[in-house]
Parts: sequence; C-alpha cells; structure tokens
Amino acid sequence: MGTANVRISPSLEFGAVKKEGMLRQTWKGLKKNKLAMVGLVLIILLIIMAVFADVIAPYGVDDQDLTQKFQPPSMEHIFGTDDFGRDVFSRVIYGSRYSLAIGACAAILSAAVGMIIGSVAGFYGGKADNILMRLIDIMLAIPSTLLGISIVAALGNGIRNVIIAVAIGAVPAYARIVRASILSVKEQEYIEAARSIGASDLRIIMRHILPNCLAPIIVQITMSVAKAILEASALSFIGLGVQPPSAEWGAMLSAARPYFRSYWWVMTFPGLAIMMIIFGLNLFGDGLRDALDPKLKS
Amino acid sequence: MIRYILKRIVALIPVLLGVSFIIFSLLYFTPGNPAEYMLGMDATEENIQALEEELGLNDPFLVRYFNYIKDIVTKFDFGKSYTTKQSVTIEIMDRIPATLTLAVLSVAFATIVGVVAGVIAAVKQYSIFDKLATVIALTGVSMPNFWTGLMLIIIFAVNLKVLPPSGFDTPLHWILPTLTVGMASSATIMRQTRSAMLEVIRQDYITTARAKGQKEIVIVFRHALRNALIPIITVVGISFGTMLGGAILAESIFSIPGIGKLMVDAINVKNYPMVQGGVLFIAFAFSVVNLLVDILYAFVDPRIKSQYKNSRKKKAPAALVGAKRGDSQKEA
Amino acid sequence: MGEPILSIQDLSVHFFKDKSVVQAVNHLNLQLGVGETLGLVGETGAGKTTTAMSIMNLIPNPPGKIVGGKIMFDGEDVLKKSKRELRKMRGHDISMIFQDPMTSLNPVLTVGDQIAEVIRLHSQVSRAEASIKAQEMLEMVGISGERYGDYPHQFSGGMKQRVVIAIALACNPRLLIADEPTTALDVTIQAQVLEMIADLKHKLNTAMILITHDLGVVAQVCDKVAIMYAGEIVEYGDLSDIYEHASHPYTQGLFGSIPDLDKDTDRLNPIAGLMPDPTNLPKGCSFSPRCPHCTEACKTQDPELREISPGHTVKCLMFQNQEE
Repeated sequence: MGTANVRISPSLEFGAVKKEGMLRQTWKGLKKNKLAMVGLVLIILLIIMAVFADVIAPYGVDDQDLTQKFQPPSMEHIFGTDDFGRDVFSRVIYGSRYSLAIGACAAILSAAVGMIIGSVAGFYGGKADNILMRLIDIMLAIPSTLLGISIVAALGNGIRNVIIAVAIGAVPAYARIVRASILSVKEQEYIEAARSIGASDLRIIMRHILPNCLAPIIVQITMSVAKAILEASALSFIGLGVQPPSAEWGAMLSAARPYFRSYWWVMTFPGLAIMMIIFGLNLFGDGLRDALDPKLKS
Repeated sequence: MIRYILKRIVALIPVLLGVSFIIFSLLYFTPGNPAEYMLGMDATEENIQALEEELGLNDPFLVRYFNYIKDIVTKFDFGKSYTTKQSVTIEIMDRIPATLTLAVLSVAFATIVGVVAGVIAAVKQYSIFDKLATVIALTGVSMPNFWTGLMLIIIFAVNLKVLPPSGFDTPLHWILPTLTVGMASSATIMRQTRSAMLEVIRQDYITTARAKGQKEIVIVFRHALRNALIPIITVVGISFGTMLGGAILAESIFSIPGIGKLMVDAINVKNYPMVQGGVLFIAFAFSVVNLLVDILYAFVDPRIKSQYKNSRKKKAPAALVGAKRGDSQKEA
Repeated sequence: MGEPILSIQDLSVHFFKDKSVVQAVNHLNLQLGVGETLGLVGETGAGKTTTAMSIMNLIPNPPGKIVGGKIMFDGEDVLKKSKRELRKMRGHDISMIFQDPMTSLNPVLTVGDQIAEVIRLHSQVSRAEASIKAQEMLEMVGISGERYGDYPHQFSGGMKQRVVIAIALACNPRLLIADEPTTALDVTIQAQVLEMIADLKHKLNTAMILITHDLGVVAQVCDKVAIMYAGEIVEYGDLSDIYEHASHPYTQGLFGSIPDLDKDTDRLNPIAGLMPDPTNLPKGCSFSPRCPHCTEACKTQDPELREISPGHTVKCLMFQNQEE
C-alpha cells in the first residue's frame, strides 16, 4: 500500500501537466485555423462593444429626437435613425449587452442542469436513468422554439424569463452528451481503480468522468450560446421576450416591423448584428471542435 | 418490422402524455384569469364566476388535467377557444393545410439544396465551390430566420417587386416563405451531408468500386450517398422540428393562416386551450416524423433492418438510433 | 519467364503531406509473365500496397502522386491511359483483392448486386444474365447462390473475403493483385482462402501478384518472389533463389526472424532497428542503418540491382563490388 501512495502523487502531477498541455495544444490548433480566429475576433468585438458601450456609442440608447425620425444612414447616423429619431447604431451597440447576457447565462444554466441530469442518469443508470431520459425525450418532442414560446407565455415577459425559457430548450443536448460520455468511461479501469481506493461518487464524477467529456461540452457551450441568442431574438420579435423600447436586437426588430418596408435600415442593422455574432460563435465552435478532437478532423 | 413499428407507436403515448402534462401545467400556473379575458373589461363579477364554473376553472388542477385528456381521447376534443368559442380541434384542422404546405415545401427545398450542395462540396473538397458553399452555409445558419424573411421581403417584394410580400393564393406567394423557413435548414443539411460524404468516400468499399472500373458519378450516388444517408436523414428529421418552429414565425410574417399564426395570436390574448392544442398537435406531428425517420433507416441500411427484426429480444435498435440522433444533434 | 504481361519500370510514388514528402516507392522495377505468380514481400510500410494501387492507377491524388516511371500492362502504359480506358481496364483486365474484407464490401448493397455490378460494367449482358453469372461466381467461391440477396453483414469474415474474390475474378482478369488477402482472417480460414485463390488462378490462367509479409504463404503459392524494403525491390528471384540462396542481408534477416522447424534454434534473430523514415531516407543504401554487414561505402553509395545468377537479382554493394 505504501508504494501505491508514492505512486499516486506523481501521477496526479502528470495529470495536471497533461491538462495544461491539452489547453496549449488546443490553442495551437485553433491559431492555425484562420476561420476560427475570425470567429474569435468577432466574439471579442462583441464583448468590447458590450463593456464599452457608453464610450463607443455616439448617442445615448434612449436619446430621442423627433425631428430626426427615420433618417437614412448618413455620416451623423451611420445606421440611420428609427421611429423616435433614436440612433440605430448606438442602440445596436447597447443591444450587445442583452445578447451577451442572455447567451452566456442561458448557456451556463443549461450546461449546469444538463450535466447534472446527464451525470445522474449515466452514472446511476437503472430507474433514475429511465425517468430522466424519458423526460428528455418529452422535451425533445417539442420543437425548441415552440417550447421557448410556451415557457415565456407562462412565466411572462422579461429578460430573466427569456433566459430560463431558452436554457430549458438546450438542456437535452448536454444531458445526452454527458450521459453518453459517462456510459463509455464508466467501466474503464481507472474508474474501478478510483472506486477501489474509496473515492466517493461525486468525486469520481467530478474528477475522473467529467474531465473526460470536457471537449464535447465546451464545443456544445459555444454552439448553445449562439442558439440562445437566436432563440431569444425570435421570442422578443414575436413580442414575448424583452419588450421595446429596450434595445435588445430582437425587440428592435419587433419595433421596426410596422415600418420596415419603407425604412429598411431600421430592420437591417440589428439583424446583421445578430448574424455577425452567431457567425463568429459558429466559426469559433467549429474550429474548437476540430482542435479539441483531432479524430473529427478530415 | 411491423412489431417494431407498433412498439414505437405505443412508446409515443407516454411522450405525448408528458408533453400535454408539461404544457397544461405551464399554462395552468400562468397568471391571469381566462374568464376575465373572455368577457372583456365590462364583465360583472357574477358573469365571470358563472363562466369559470362553466369552463371548469374552479376544479382542482389534476381533475382539470384528467378531464382535458379524457375529452381528447374519447371525443378528440381539445376544448373550446376562449376567443371564438369554437372547437379548438376544428380551428386547428382548418389551419393544417397551410402549415402542411409550408412544411412540405420547406423540407423539400432544404433537403434538395442541402444534399446536392453537400455532395458536390464533399466530392470537390477544397475546391472553390466547397469553400464558397461552406461559408454560405455558415452564413445561412447564422441568420435568424424571421429576419431572413423580412430581408427577403425588402429585396424581392419592396425593391425588385418580383414576388408578393405576403399571402398564400398563388405558387409565387409560397416562394419567400419556403426560402425563409428552409434556408437555415438547407445549410445544416449541407454541412451534415458534406461531412458524412467525406467520411464515406474514404472507405475501402469506395476503392473497391473504383477498382471495378465504375464511373465516378455512379460511385458517388450508388455507393457513397446511400451509405451517407443515415446521418442525412437524421438531420432532415431534426430540421423538420426546427422548421416547424420557424414556420410559426414565418406564418406570422407572411400572413399565412397556419397553426403557427393561430398560436402566436392565441398567446397574445391568453387563449390557452388553443395554445395547448397547437403545441400538442405540433409535438404529435414531430413525433410522427421522428418515427418515420426511424422506419426509413431500415430501408436505407440493411443492418438496421435486421436489428429491427430482432428487436423482440433486445432494445438495441432504439439505443443505436437514439445514439445516432444524439450525435447529429450536436452537429445541428 | 514467358511473355511479360506486366512490366514496371523505374516507378516512383510520393505522398505530399504538410510540406513533407513521403517517398513511398522509389525507382521500382518489376516484371511478371503471363500466368505467373509473384510474391511481393516486405514489412508494413515498405510500399507494397502503394505499388499495387499504382498498377491500377488508383493512387489517391491528392495527397499521392506517381512522380515517375512507366507501368506497361499488355504493351500499354497504364499511367498514360485516359479515364475511360482506365475504367475499362479496372475490374476487367486487372482486378484486386483487398486486405480487409470487413470494410471492402459496400454494407448497403447485396453481395449479389456487388458481383453483378462488375459483370455488367465489362460485358454486354442484361441485368438478369448478370445476376445469373453472379450466382455462378458465388457458387464458384463456395457460397450458395441462394445468398445472392444477402447483405455483407450477414456473412462471416472468411465468407466476405470469398465474395471479394468472386468480384475480383468475375470478369476473368489477366492480372490479379491480392493485397494481403488473408491477414484479416482467422488462421484456420487463411489456408482455405489461399488455396482457393491459387486454385481459381490456375483454372483461369491469371497472373497474380500476392502481397504479403508471410514467407510461408509465399512458399506455398508463388513462382517468383520480390523482397521489398523502403520502397525498393532489394532482391528478386524464383522460389529456390530466395529460399535457398537468400543473398540480400535484409532477406536473410527476414528468414532469421521466423522459426525454422528443421533447426533447433533457441531464439529468433529479428532484424535490429526500424524501417527508415520515408520522408527522410538514408543517403546510401536504405538498409544500411540496420545492416549487419554495413560498410562506410554503404552509407554513401546507393547500390544497383545486380544479377547474381540467371533471374536472381540483388540490390546490395556486396555483390556489386564482387563483380568489379
């Protein structure tokens, strides 16, 4: 037993070294992928926009000037103005705050819930697995946009409820990924070994199993941030999510709807903003998947 | 095989019950009194109470849920619309043709464009077409589809004036809605087709076919595409769900009287029986499509077919198919 | 040797990967007469399969490219044929049995259709006639014709390899290339399959190249043997030349690393070291780093093939210098 103890610590150290190596390797792979770098730049741009909105935006988010209604794009208002004479560019800049908050919160929430469900189902199997997976089946039977609509309809409008609604729709994907990974590593010998030295279930899941399915989860998080932003904007658009006059991009589109045939810019730019950030997240997510899992690469 | 299908249909029942329970309880706990909504502002207290009694709004939650399900099962009755007092069943049935048309057109469009582009991109990997198609597909999945619809209206209806902006009378009217709903999915299908084809093209049996002296085009379609079909069918099935969701928005943008528009209108006036009926109906349609997808697997892949045949003993095929769907869910 | 049906001259094949060049086959020469069987022997990575794929002109490009040489089949250069001519040749004049029967059959087509496909491609027959012929082929390789409509997953590995053989022989090719046809099979099945190939080949008077790393198999089936190392043929001769007068140090090493029942040796003598990195071959003789007889000259001078007795050639400085 004494020798076993001696052996444990170097192996742990080795694990740590390896983990850092994995990070560095992933970064190396990512750096080579030009498209992924474009994606990263777009994401960083969004974060900068959100953090420094006050500095970047030339006008206040709610500054109205009714004499300047529906001005087409010009030097003064590069994205034009809306029905209250508000500067669309400034509103798009401020809108990034909503998207960032909704995307990040929804992704973290759904990842947490999904991982717990997936871990419990995969690790304990049997009845727990059966019940949880049937629940997931039920959630998957409702198209996610529809599920989001129903949840917000029930909970009421507002950014918090939008986050919850969007997050719930993304839970099944995480649960399935984690469950599948756990099932595949559960019977491996090092898990047996960990159990044989008396590690608790929680410890085994946290230290030995989850790190092994980290790659697909990280990729899924990038993708679900994108999906959350898209779905939240759809909810706001049909008037269920964040309400105008908030400068949320979907809400801006919703507010612009009555006039969009005459004043294209009111509708175009918030949509382009959504597109750019989703594009960035997708590029980055694809690159990340290739870098994390060389097997998937062609 | 028939046994397998029957088993799957039976397995649908608890899922749909679950869906109905979730939706029913979600809307049950929603604030607001439907009776007040129905009667409007100037309703008297007595009128409201009478209506609550009539609608069974005062019964306990489980009793109400049980009655709801009982009516559906025994009378195919989804309740009465709060606004029109009409049967929800009839209103939904009236709206099916429009939604079905839009769904079928969009699926057909997305599948044809996605598969053809994906096959070409894979066969000509690294070519200009491949790179272009990949970037276009990425752009396609990045656009919110309601916004795509509005942009299409601005371009084709307002500026070019070549297509009508809304309505559903002529085939021309269906072009923009179909593009709106199908575009993002065609991009997803293209990406899946491309990666599946790239995987298959490297297999040994493709070399075998080449060594037989077979033509490249026959190799691509007869030998490669058939093997790549499983993930493609899977993603088409998933896209169908996305498209149903997209149709909800597209119908309201293009003023198409489908189930989606019915539901959005119903949500805005808290017409819950209508919302419940709509969600249940769409979940049912989606489940049926998923079942069809699983059955289709058997016709595409003889290995899955023989597993279905042996499914009496094991649960293997469901697990296998489920795993596959989970995989491409990641993709989608 | 009779009339040569295949003559490879100075063939070089390179693979281009991430800026480095893998020299898979280097200046290879090889001849094969009508009806002859040649054993192509070497370690994994020696370039055997690449040579075989070159004969069919099936090197995947990119990343592979035939950078030089000629492959004369029946008097015509395979490398100069048009796509159409190549398609006519593949499966009809030259056909191939692949290493892994598990993956070389298409899982979604019936085995019968896969045999009938090659028949329909190369002879003007109706669908019905092709399927009759395909059933005959199945019978010929020892599978009941009733299994025409079965799919590959319903067959065992050995049976699948029989199907692959039926496909390869369906159009009576004049040259059959068998790339390690038994490696993926159980030992008990190996002998059966091998015997069947030899038998059918004899019946149809097909020339054959048998790729293998198993010297026992070669002794059983082949007339001629070519030993391949790092993309080159280092020794070539008939069975007795190689088995009784193995001259190249590498060939001797190969024989030293298999047990010999006649002799009572305590331990085998494996060849020390590994194959050289194909992206960075040694300057002189490519075997020099592992050769027990390596001299200073070997490290700088690439030896030429020398005929040391009629029909027996060796690529080694020891013999080159002897003559001079």
